[in-house]
Amino acid sequence: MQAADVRQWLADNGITSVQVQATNLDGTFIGKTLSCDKFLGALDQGVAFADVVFGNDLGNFPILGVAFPSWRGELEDIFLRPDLGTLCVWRPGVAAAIGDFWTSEGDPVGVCPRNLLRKVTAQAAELGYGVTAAVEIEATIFEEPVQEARAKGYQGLTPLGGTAGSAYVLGKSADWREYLEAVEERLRSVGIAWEAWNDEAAVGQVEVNVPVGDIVDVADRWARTRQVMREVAYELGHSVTFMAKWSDAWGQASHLNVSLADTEGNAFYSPEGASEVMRHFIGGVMAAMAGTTSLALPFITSYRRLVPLEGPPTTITWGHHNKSTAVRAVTGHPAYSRIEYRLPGSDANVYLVAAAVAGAGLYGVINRVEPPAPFAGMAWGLPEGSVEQVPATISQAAAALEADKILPEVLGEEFVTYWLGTRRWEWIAFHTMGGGDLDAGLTAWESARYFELV
Amino acid sequence: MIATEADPTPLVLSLARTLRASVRVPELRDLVAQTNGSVSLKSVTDAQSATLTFDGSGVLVSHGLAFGAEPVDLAFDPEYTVGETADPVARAAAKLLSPPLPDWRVAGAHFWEVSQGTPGFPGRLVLVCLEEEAELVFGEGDDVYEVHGYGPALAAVLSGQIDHFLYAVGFGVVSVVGSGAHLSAMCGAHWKVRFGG
Repeated sequence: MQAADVRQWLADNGITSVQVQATNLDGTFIGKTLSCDKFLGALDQGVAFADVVFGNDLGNFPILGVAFPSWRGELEDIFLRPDLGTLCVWRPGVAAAIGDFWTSEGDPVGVCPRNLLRKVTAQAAELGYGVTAAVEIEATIFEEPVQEARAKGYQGLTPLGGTAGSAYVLGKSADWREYLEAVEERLRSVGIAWEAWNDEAAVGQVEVNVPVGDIVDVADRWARTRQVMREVAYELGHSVTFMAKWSDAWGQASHLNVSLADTEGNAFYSPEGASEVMRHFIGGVMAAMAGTTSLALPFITSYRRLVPLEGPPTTITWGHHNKSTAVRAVTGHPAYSRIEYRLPGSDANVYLVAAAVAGAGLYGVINRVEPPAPFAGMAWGLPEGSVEQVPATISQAAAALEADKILPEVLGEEFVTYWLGTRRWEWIAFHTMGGGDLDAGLTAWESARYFELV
Repeated sequence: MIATEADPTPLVLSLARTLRASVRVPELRDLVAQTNGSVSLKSVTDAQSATLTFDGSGVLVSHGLAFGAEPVDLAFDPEYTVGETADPVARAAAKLLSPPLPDWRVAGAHFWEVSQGTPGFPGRLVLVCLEEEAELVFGEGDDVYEVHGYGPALAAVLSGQIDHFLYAVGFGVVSVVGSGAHLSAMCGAHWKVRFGG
């Protein structure tokens, strides 16, 4: 669309303001609401944001200790350029567009999550592949309004829908259905494709599935669907969290399904099982898995989810049709052949994880990286030392990323160095700003920091 | 002689760095050799805690409180101050956790040595000691950062005391001349020293 077309589109849809949207490194949905004229005037240059978009932590404290990239200075401006392909009616009278951050010199900001994912898909396109994905969103909904949740320090809340166990239960109370049907209706009205929703394993936990599509589009829908889930919860007087673990109950994930497509169709498909492309893709993904953990499990709380036998992977393994491994290879189907990357918590920024996984997979395809042997059997409860474990803390994961040789090549040195600085700060902040003892279970510091923002 | 557990916390690393400074002093090194037993230390200002285990030849620093231990207070200002106690191991720990400050020039030289040439770190670091009206310059060129302060404050900050270099600036312990990018790099350099670099 050209500017004149956008102006007409805004008028045709009765739009009086436009929300520009993005995620920060922590996955928080951020943006500004603009008048239509301001939005139209920012189509080329973008909308100015202070560089602290990528410079402050979830407590709004400056993240220091890293070498500043060129776009960071004395609170320099960076610019969010709307991607007009994402323009939609967000609510009556309000439009929305997702954007990417650019520097004042006109270069893409090297740590912008969406830029990184677009860079990887551009590389895939050069190789003749499209990257397709689907993502699962897990969250816990509470009866209490968010104001009450805040007043209670996010403790002692009542999961919506009763405390009956099991999963996939249809016999939930009406308030639970009312919430999810409202989410569904809102997604439909915005034009965000959804596939399914259901009751999940822990009390109050739900899963919403973002269907398969181009990986950037899927990440956009992931970000927007989570925002819709928050907005609907607040409108109905409830609260919601995407923390990987909000209590001692089962954790929450963001399983990411990825495959490559070429002119022949699904490039992972072979009648014999995994195609050569899929095998090498898995080879790259597995080689970078320990380092990718820092992105898939970005916060202190993320690691509390890694409880063997509860569902999340705890080992650096892959297997055919095996959900106890970190990567489940779904093979033998001309349409559905894919990997399911099961490591990310529900608190991960899917743009970043998708960029790392797809990028590492492409690295494997380009360099013909052979994967380790597929793991057979249950990948939990194994004898110590028999299988490499997923890094168990934010600091272990940072060390693994620092040692990784693939991800700097895939995501850029600038991003990896900067990200490591942010994770070191998260570790320091937890310990020195009131977090407490990691061994003592979920802390008030974690709830206060993560409940509303991840 | 001074060891830490695997995957140590910031407090564990900082205590270990402090103990390493102590064992460079002969009488404090002897004190380590004379001490057996453990002491659990609990911060008086936040939830951090750590345990020092002495075995007559060295010290293992680990996070948390030893099972059943009666913790001893640990204060950070000045860093570190162990609370009143009659326990001989805790009293030894108190001495070992407050070693004499190095001369600010020595601390500055180590600070420079650890981080010079790393991305973002200034090419020239100027330390200005106020009471001595003295200046110490490391490196050369126009990419310069200045840190001003009294000798003991410079020595404390540059040898890794205080949780965050930003606090040292924010609370006026030292003052600085330079850019935000330099400040960020200095924070990283300070943690490198604080955590044992």
